[in-house]
Amino acid sequence: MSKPQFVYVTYIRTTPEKVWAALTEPQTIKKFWFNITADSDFKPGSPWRLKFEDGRVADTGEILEAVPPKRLVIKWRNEFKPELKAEGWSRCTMEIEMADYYPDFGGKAVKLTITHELEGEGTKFIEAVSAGWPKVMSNLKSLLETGDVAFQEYAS
Amino acid sequence: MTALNPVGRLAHDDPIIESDPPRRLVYGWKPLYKDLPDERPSRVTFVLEPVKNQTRLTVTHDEFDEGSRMFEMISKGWPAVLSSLKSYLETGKGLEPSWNDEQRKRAGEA
Repeated sequence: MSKPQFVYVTYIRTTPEKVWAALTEPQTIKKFWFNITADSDFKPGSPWRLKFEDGRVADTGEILEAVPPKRLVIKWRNEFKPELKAEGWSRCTMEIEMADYYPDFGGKAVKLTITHELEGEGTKFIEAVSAGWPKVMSNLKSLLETGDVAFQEYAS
Repeated sequence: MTALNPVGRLAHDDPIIESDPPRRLVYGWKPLYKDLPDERPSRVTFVLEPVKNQTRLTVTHDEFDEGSRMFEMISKGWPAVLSSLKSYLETGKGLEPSWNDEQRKRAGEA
């Protein structure tokens, strides 16, 4: 059986460099990720951490791969919900490419693919990120295309 | 519901199954391109819900047979179409495909 996995694909009218910058600059991350702070220099082997506005640690991990402006892989574990933390490590792969906007019909846009998979067994972590990623990615697309986000705060 | 492709050929002629504006739309799905596999019609459901002054759109495309090729195709197509919809609603401009002559010709023949 394959590993529990979440995949999200979105197309953004921008450049791969701008998507890379948005995914790795703490000031920009904060704008589209509901005031989450990312602590990392986004270099392979470096620690990585997400913190809430109040300082609580949301997630921790390590940068496994960083190939600007194409590919970012993060080893990732939830820290603030015991039932999610108990499911252990996951791996999040972000791939950025200029792609045909619609198969066979041409037109170019940046295709951003998020693949988040759990290393071990369990369903709760993947369920949680499945609810979160569409909102975060929706905000990222709005920010890059309009200069502003759709949601200021997380809508559950 | 009929839909024409960019060179004016009929691409869809599908039944509307449910329509409850502005919350829910369900229609049948069987594209008419000639090179598509002959599969039974599938079904698309759009659900719109208000969330913090924004709209959450959930698209569910189901009723495929086991091993459906159409399922693989729409799995690639919807992320592109829905990305374009969001761009259109937020910026006034969708992510329009720029067809070259060969692609136009191919679509005309399809």
